[in-house]
Amino acid sequence: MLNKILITIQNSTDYQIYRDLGISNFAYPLENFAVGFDKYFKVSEMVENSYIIINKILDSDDVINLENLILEMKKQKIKGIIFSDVGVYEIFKKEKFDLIWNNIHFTINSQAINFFKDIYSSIISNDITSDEVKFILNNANKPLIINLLTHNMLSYSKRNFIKNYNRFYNKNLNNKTIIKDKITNRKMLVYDEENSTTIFSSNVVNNISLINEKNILFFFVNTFNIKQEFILDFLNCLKKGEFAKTQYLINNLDTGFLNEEMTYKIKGDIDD
Amino acid sequence: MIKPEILCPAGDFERLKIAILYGADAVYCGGKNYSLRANATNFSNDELKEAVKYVHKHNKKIYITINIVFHDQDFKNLISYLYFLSKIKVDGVIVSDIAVINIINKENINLDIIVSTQCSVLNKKAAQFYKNLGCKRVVLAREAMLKDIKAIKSCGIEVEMFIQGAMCTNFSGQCILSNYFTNRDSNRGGCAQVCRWNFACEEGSDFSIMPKDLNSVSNIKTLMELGVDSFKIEGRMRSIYYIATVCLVYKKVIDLIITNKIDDEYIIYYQNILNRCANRDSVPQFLNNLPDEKAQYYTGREEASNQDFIGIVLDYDENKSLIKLEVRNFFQIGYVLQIFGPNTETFDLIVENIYDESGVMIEKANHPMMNVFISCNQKVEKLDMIRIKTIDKIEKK
Repeated sequence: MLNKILITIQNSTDYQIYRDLGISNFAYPLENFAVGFDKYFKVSEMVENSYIIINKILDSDDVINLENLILEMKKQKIKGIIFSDVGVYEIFKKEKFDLIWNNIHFTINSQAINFFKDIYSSIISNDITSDEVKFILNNANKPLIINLLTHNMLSYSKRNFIKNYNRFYNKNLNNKTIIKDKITNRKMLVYDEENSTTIFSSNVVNNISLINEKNILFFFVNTFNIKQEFILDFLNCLKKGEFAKTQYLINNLDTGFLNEEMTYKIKGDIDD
Repeated sequence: MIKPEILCPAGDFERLKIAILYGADAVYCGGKNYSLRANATNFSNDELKEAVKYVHKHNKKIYITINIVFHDQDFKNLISYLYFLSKIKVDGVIVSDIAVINIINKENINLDIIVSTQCSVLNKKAAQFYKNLGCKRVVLAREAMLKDIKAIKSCGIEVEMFIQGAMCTNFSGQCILSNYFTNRDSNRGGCAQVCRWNFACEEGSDFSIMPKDLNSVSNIKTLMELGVDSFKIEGRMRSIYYIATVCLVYKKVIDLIITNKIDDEYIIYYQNILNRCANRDSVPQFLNNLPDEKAQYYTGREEASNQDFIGIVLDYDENKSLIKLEVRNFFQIGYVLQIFGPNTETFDLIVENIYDESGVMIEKANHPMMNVFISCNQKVEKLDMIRIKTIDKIEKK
């Protein structure tokens, strides 16, 4: 089971710990080209045969800087690139890396996923229901990746919400902070980094109910903001085949949108 | 310097006609399905047919939004709709899902493809990707800065940019806050605008991520110099007054630039006009710098409900010097109004008398949609707009 896990590395000691457990697929957020992670890595800090996460929406300078890293990626024997911006696809399409498309709110239908015929795989979005995920898996032209454990990224902005808040109120709010809707009491995690803010579900989404689906290349574990103690417990459950037990390891677990059908036509009640 | 297209929103036929009348070179609108303003009136297929005829009769263009991100079940009937749009000769479709682009190409449907701002194009390589797919134009992410526009223009694809209106506080398309808090799917047109809510945080003060609107008056000249092909105005659910005002302002600004008459006084004047006609302040946002705390709201919903729009001219009787108008907001004798229109230079009018439809003099007009008459010695035209005077009109030779 653990040989199908693709896990993000969040500090330099993670690799050996996960390796010892039996995991062999690793993803590193690339410094200056990724958002929404606790730590970012230079190419030289990544192990051979690992995947690089580039999930930033690139501007014109980023494109030039990224092209300058291709040679180093080859030297480091990087296996693949997990990308969001189609500009990254355009840069790497002729290079010999395994390309994985992960535009998190757009990989929600089989036709879009099947469009990229020359790429290795796609990560199916967490925005859709269990039935929709299954439909995509059954109709995909390649094995796909399921988000298994992650905080759902709810939004990505180029603004600095917390820095701006601190300047406006002359306060010193932490760059990673929880805010709460006053009516529903629902919480979200706001994470302000240099030139971006990402917002996440406060709960960790556990998609263990999809564990026995077919046509899955990897199960993706995004370790951002999750305690390693819990991650190891979770992985040990997987190793032992105790899938149901993973749902009770910590309090703030849920199933995200897997069982939540969305509505979008509600006539007459929204102003613009 | 090439004159860019002014592209206006048309939430329905009335708005479409106003946009065309007030100087739009093109309009964009949605059909009953597949459009991100699922809760706007939008156009039936028959109405779309009529809209295309109307727009083309005025030598203008019309683009249709098919800009939802599709779930598999949403593709039903899409192909026949695309053929329909091709048949009625729309001037392009605004698309965000790669699957739709692929369908148009595979089916060889004769439609120009415009890549939606939902696709967050900020770099030349992304623009090149869409150009390679045969797309004619990209609508840049609202986060585009000058250096990005310059780089993207160099790859030879048409560039469309938002110049005025509401901002998504996040990258458009990269936000499902609405889904999370309300179960309304933002990327299929159900956005509940959660980014305009106030939240509680540990520090005690309200936490807000609410952006002010975009206003590009001060940057229009630079954008024209960069060769931006189309200037887009946001707001398919905005009022006819808003559409008329914004469209006319940008038309005038572009004309002033082309005739080399633009100066700071004009820029401030037109910025003020735009700030008055919306319920939120508007600022330049991303073009030159990352927006700071001044580009956001913090303390509660600071939007002001605006009653500046007094009415719309239904008719003008030259012999009696009487305007017949349809009232939208309260006014009374003594009010100072301003009248403007596509062919009517803005002028002030003091209300000296008001008559109801039976000719009886009344003190005030306080029923929205009632028809009244007011005296005016200056000739006006049908569909000219009347607002309360809040800003002195600019006087220059």
